[in-house]
Amino acid sequence: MTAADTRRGVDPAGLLALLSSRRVVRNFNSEPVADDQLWMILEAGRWATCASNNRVHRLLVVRDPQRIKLVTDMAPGIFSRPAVMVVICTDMQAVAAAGLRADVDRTVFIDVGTLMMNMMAQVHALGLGACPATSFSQAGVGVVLGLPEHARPEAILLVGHPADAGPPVPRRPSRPSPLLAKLVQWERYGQAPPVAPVASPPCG
Amino acid sequence: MSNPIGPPGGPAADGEPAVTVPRERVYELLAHLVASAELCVVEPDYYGSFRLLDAAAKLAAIMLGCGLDDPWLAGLHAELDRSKLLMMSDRPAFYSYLPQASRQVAERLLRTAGGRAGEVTR
Repeated sequence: MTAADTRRGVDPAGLLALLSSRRVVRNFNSEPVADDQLWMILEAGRWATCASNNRVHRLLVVRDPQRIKLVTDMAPGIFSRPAVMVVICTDMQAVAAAGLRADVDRTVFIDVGTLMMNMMAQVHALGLGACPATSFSQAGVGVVLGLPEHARPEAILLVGHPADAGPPVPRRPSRPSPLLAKLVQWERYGQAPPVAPVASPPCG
Repeated sequence: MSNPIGPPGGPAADGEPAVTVPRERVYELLAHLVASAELCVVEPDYYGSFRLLDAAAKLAAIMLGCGLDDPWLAGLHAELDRSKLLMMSDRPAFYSYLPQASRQVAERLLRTAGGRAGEVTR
């Protein structure tokens, strides 16, 4: 580690290993998520990069089992009830105050992704499981959660302790990762990197 | 909420086992179907098949969970729950499974109707 790495308390290879070992967890047991862990996850979201530092999103934490059930009913993409849902909402009043046009400004959606990714990485670092969900009825979820008109639910992060739910969904072989070579374009679109990409670290 | 719909449990008029389904379970399936209809407008087309298979699995789970003794349905439910996930990992296998599931259900319909393939009149 370099001095800068030490200052940040981060081992770069360790961070890459963390990111590459993360998997979506779709089945959870009933064990609750501790308050300090939940706040750490939310704090990770707070530090997500955000266009112009506009902060037009809000994180609605849902832990009440009955409310979680109702959201799940309106969410065909959610297969198991987690201990916690973090509903990422776009606050349209904040959007208006920032002078954004939510229907055409890509940063509104990109920032949902950065929030989600920061929180999922933190969930994984804590040894918990997470699943991002977008397959839900925005109108239906708005009703069951009693959201105000200006709060638009964009995505839901499911957090909980993974259940033993059998073998994971098979993934394509990824070591060394041919996907990386396909993803990376070099200098010009369609041009492959001049050298083979470094193999991904072993995945958990 | 556990208000039953339909007649109380017991054999139906045709002698087949009947099951009483709580209203709440019916509403859960209703919510899934209606929300899926909304999502299918924006999701890739193969998600429609996925949502319907998932709904079929939910329907089977509801019936079995309400006490229906039907080993065939229990087997189909397990298979649906497993095979629907092929959509995310192996799409050609997912597409291959769809007519396979239809055949299984059709054969079961035939047996329930007391007929054999080719003998059902229209």
